[in-house]
Amino acid sequence: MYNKVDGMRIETASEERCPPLRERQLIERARKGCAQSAHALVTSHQDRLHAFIWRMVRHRQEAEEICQEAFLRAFAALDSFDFSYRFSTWLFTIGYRLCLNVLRKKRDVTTDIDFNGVSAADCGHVQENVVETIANSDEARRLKQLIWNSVDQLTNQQRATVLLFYKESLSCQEIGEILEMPAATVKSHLHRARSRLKELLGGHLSEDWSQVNFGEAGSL
Amino acid sequence: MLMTCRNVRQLHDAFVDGELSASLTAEVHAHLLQCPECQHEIEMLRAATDVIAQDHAEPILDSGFASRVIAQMPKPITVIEDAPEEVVEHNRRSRFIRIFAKGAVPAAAAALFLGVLIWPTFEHADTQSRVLGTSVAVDAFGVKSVLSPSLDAVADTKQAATSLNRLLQISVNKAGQQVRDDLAAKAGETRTDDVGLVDVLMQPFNGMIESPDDQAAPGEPEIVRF
Repeated sequence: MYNKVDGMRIETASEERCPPLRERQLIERARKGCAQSAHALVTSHQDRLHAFIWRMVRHRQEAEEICQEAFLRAFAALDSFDFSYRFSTWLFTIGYRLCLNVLRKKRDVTTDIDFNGVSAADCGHVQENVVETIANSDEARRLKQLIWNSVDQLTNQQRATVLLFYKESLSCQEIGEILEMPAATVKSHLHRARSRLKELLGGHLSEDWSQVNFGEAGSL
Repeated sequence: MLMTCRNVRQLHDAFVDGELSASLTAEVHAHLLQCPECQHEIEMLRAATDVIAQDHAEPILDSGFASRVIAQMPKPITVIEDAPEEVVEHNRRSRFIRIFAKGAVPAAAAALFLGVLIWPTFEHADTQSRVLGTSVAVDAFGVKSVLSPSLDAVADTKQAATSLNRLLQISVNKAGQQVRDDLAAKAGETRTDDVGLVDVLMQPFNGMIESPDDQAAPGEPEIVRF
């Protein structure tokens, strides 16, 4: 998550990225059956993985089930884990595949999007900051919804690329490892996603949208 | 050269990702200052991607999620407490002892092998059935060991060395007997004392060494042949 004052990225205890050495120790102990280590691996990755999956499938219950299934499959194959990769890369790969399975079963993605599935209470954020109050104004909320609606209209691969590139701040190489495609293909998907977003947003945003204060978002 | 809107659209991704050279970036900036439409597009996309990056409106998992995942794991799991320092040190010492033991066994086997090679050759008949003082059965396939395979190898090696010694002994005895017979034939007497290994080895050279009776006659030069 981001610091609301200066926009610097800060990490909560749950989403704090595990140092590689510590992660390796946890994985090796989890292989031997250590419940504490397995628990630590889950808690250190669950929030980020769940956020990505939820943004892909846009359904709360399905997102939680997919997230749980991704962890179970990862632990079931833990003995074959390759330490040259990060555990998160592997987790996101499994999660992405499971998302595609679910999405393929749905005929019309837009009709299943749970726009009302997230309430202010579900977010769990505490509004302490004036900037955040402004950011949550009606206009800002409407524009945010428009932006996310546009993201939802991207193809699965374009959406996954956008989420991993902007939300997870991953490089095209790392995204390619998760989506199992070359980095050049990732760049191509990213280019098309941006073009599509410009196309979708251009027709909906009013001329004075740039005056809306998203908080730290929107500043050049 | 002034950049066109088409140029800016083509360079849009690289510009947003900061991959353009300094000169090209400056040219894009210069165009944006003069083209509100391109500027609007760039700013709109940047705002949208900022929202994507910074908006955390996703639902969060409840605190029991991780425990539910662990509970559903098929592999039986146990709680392994963090080992205290003394246990860690003990484990380090145990590991050292294990590593040392791994190297000590082959060293001991090698020492036994060498000991077998210089084992005394004169043995009683019944020691053929004894390996390191332990009575074992003797069959057509050699000495059987009731101990570990490394000792089996040692026993077989010992047997082989014993056999070699016996062969050498037999050869020496036979050669010795032959030497005794030769000497007796020369001296015309029966030599009863044992002929040693040196006598056997020197036999080929004895004929080359002239006895006092065979010395060259006076006047003849002494010839030393090698």
